[in-house]
Formats: sequence, C-alpha cells, structure tokens
Amino acid sequence: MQLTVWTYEGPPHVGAMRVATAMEGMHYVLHAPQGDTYADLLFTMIERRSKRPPVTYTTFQARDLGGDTAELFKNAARDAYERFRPAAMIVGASCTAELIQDDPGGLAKALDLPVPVIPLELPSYQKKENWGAAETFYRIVRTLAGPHAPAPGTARPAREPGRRPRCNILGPTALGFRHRDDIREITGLLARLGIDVSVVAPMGGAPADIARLG
Amino acid sequence: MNAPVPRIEATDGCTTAPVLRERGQREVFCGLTGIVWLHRKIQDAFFLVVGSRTCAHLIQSAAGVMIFAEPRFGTAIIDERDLAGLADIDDELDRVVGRLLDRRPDIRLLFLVGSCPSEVIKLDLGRAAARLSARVAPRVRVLSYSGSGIETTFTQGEDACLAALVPALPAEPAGAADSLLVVGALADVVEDQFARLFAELGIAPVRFLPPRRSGDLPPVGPGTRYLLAQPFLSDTARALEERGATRLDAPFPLGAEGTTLWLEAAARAWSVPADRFEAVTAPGRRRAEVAMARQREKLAGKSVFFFPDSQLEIPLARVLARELGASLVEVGTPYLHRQHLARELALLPAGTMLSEGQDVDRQLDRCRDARPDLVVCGLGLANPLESEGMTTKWSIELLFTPIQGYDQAGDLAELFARPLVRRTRLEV
Repeated sequence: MQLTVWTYEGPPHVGAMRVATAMEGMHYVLHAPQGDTYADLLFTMIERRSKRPPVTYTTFQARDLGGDTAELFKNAARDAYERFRPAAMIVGASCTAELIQDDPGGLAKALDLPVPVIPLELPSYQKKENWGAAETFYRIVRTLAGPHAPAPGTARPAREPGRRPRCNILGPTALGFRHRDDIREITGLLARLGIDVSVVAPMGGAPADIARLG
Repeated sequence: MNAPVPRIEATDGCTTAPVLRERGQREVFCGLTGIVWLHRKIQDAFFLVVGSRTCAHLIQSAAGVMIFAEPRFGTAIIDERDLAGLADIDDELDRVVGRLLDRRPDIRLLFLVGSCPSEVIKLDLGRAAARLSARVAPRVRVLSYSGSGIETTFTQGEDACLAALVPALPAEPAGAADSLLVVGALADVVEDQFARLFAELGIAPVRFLPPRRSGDLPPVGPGTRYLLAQPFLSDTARALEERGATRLDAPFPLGAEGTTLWLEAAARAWSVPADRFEAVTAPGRRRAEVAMARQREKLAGKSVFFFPDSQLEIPLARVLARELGASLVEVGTPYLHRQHLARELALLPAGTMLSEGQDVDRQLDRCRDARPDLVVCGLGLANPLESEGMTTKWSIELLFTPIQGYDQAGDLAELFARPLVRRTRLEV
C-alpha cells in the first residue's frame, strides 16, 4: 500500500482508452464499476475532442455483484457492437472488474461477433497508464497484423526501382502531449527527406491500416 | 398555525407522474468526488481514499488539483502485495495512516474512504477506523465511509460522509431547547446568510452539518428539527432520525420560491408570526425576484434537458420552470427519493418527463431527437453535444457555485442563461 497525493499516470485501462480513442473504427468495451466513466472527461475536456471516446462501460453497481456481472458485460458488448458497428473491438477490465474475475476476453469471444475482438490483460495493481497504452497497441498489432507478418528471418524484397522509401509512424495516441502536432511535423520532415509515410497508428489508424503493417 | 406566505395552490404537479427507469451505462461520477468539496468545507479534515490508482486519478482529474499547498486528501493505493496477501493489509493501512498523521499535525479528523476495490475485497474500514482512533485519539478522530462507485453516485458520497459523522455528534443535553440543524454542505457565504435570516426570525439555536471545523460538531437529540439543504441526503436523514431528530418537510432553498418555502418550514415549527416572517424575508425575496427577472428574459420559453448527475436536477428544474419560464424536455436524476422530494415533485409542472437512472446512449438519442435549447449535463458529454450544435451547461458548476438562498438566486439563473447568451454572441 502506497500513500499517493499526486499521480502523474492513471491506471493501465486509461492507456488502453488513449489507444482506442486515437484510432478510427475501434471500440473498447470496459468492464468497470459506476464512476469509471470519469475518464471520458480527460478526452472531452482536457483534449477537447468533439466526440465521446469510443468506450462502453458496463458501470456495474453493488446490487449487480450478487447477480450476474458477466451477463451485464455480454449485453454491453453486444449492444456496443450493434450501436457503433466498429471494425474491431478491444475488451478488458478496470481495477475493480479485475477483482471479480469475469474474464471479459472469454465472454466477448463467446458472443461470436463478426469483427476481431482483442482481449486485454492489464494488471491494474501492478502497472500504469503508459504501460497500458503500450500493451494495448501491442495486442492490437499482434492480432490484426500478426497473421500477415512474414515469418522471422524472411528476407525483405528489394524496393522497386523509382519508388520512394516508406515508413510507419507508430505510437501517437489520444491525450498525448503534442502528438497531433508531432505527426504533422515529422510527416513534413520525412517528406522533405524523400520518405513517405505509410501508416500512422494508433492515431488516425483504422484496424485495416494496422493489418497492413509490416 | 401561522401562514406566513400564501400556500402554493394544491396541485399534484408531478407527485404521481410516471418515471422512466433506465438501466444501462451511467455516465456519472462515483461518490469519491464529494471529497472535492467536502475537504474545503471541513477545514481540518483529511480524506484518505483506500483504493486503486484509478481512484487517485479520478480525484485528481475531477478536482483539477494543483498542488500549491498540501491537499487534504490522498489515496492509499492498494497494490498486488496487499491483494496477494504478501503484506497484511491492516498493517499497511496503519503504517500509511501513521506516516500521514506524523507529517500532518493539522489534521483533526481523518476519514478512511472506501472505494470499489476496497469494498470488493471486503476491507473493513469501519473496524480499521475504530482501531486507529483508539491509537490517535484524542488528537485525531478517525471515521470511515464508502464513496465507492458500486454503492454511491456522485453526491451520495457527501451523504455517506455526513451519515458517518452523525454517530459522532454529541447528544443534546436533556431539557435543552429545540434546535434547528441545517444539513448539507453549503458555501460559507450561504451559511452565513441563512444564519442571519434564522436569527432575525427568532429561531435559535441554529447549527450546521457539516461544521467548518471538526471540533464544532453540532449536538443532536429529540429536540433537534432538521432542514435538508441538499436533496441527496437520505442516509444522513435516517441516521439523524435514529438520534431522535425530526425532519422539517420543505422544498430545497433554490430560487426565491424554494428559499421562502424552506425558511417557512422552520418558521412554522418555531411558530414565527406571519408579519415577522414577511418582514424578514420580503427584502431578500424581492432582491431575488429582481435578479432573476433579468435572466428570465433570456430563459423564458427555452426548452431544457437534464442528464442525471447530482440529484439536484428536480429542484433546479422546478426553478427553471416556475421562476424562469423555461420548459422541461426531460429531467433525469440518478435517484429519485420520493419522500424528500415530495414537495418538489408537487411543484413541478404536471406532465414533466422524469427519468431515473441512465442508459446514456439511449438518453443521448432522446436528447438529439428533442434538440433542446439547453442541455444540463456532465463534463464527459458537454463538448461532444456542443459540437453537435447543442448548448450545454456543465452540471458540476451547479454544485460548486453557491446557488442557494435569496442572494444567490440571480447567480443560479445566470448560470443557465450564460451558455445561451454566449451562443448568441458567437452566432452574431
């Protein structure tokens, strides 16, 4: 137990929110108690985004704990898919939901949704926000780009003659300090060096963009 | 009985109105958020949340805290060692509290505040408070309550905190004169105004809960009549009644009308003559009416939609409808306490759409369909609705701004009028 009067980093699921919110066509279903929706205001007030973060919270209460919180999660995931029609979903638990061990990943898988559903394991009592963002992006890339990635050791085909070199910009997220400006600046610098940018992710990237990484 | 002000004609208003009850995603704060105003009100209290990093992050985000001075709240963050049983969680808590009290000799009252994780792992903070109290009394009193999101919504955190204070209140000595207790955190300036009005009415003694300093806990007993200054205090009310106090039924002191009826409830209990009540309240009432009239021009005929947030929605809607001429599209509240809000419901225009609980996406659909002139909502919804072309008022402002009483009625009205004026200015 640690006395904290000031924390620079939030919990890891806020990192996952930063990744989901940065992306296009991604939705995050978060098993979380009532009140965890406070995190929305980081994006709507601090970052002044014009849209709510693409996050559905189960917002369970004490009376749900005696009943079926797993059912609550399944309904929330199903309704979120129906309403938002994302191209992919990430699912996970906040600190309290981690304790009740409902296994959001397994529950979401059982729903058999027609889009990739990526389970997140973000240990809230060990890790923090930046780790959560990194882990979330890693899981998304593993799931969406992994199947298309060439086997390790495969030689890269030579660049076609006359084609400009290309790169990806990976890492900018929502609520990141100057990330939006940095993307513009770095893209411009690279262009002047004669380098194209293929994918920027998570910020502005869609699941289909992630799938063509590599 | 005296009848100091003409009784509002006995319509039913919304007394028996149907309420749409919704269950779904709730876009609300948890009760921990109450610490943001409670720590300012009780000036020698410290609020120690026993919870997770999320709790610490929430309070920081909600409070927008700048650490210029040492704040009087913090979080004891439970970590995996506590959960895995590698550390004895009681020993850990004792250690954290010991360190805190050593460093902060100014603390006289320490609240251990339960959170979702501490509730789920069934950490007994009541027992911890008793154990710690025995160690640090009489210098510090240690109490506990839960502000967890699984049990409390936003302002219910204040209810839980005040309810935890009630057993610590001293007993009113036998044979003491009847006393008035005003219950619910009010801005000091509002409290002072009310204290003056009660004094002029000849009502005494008058005390306030919570007190500004923990050493001034008001006594309570069978001679205590209490007035709720806030509509979200059901557990506190029950605890006071267990100590023998009786509630004076009244609407809440918002707007000229609400303030008059609220004062009137006390005046009746103390049998204040009608002419005295009139003489004492008329100047304030007139000031309030004049101040509100200026804003009424901007608000009359405007449609307003309330998302559920603080449980202040119904009294606020009543002010908007009856004193400012606005029309109500939907009045959402996280909980509807029918008994405490009976007088308010009776005053609401018949046919007002009331909703309790929330399914935020469905409520947003209703709001978009209705296209109200003004949406009162939380910080998570305001900017997205603005970008859809709607005008919003942050509901949290209605909690942090002094709005009760005659002299704040104009400010209250202006809070609603300001976003409408701002939009007109932007459009011109």
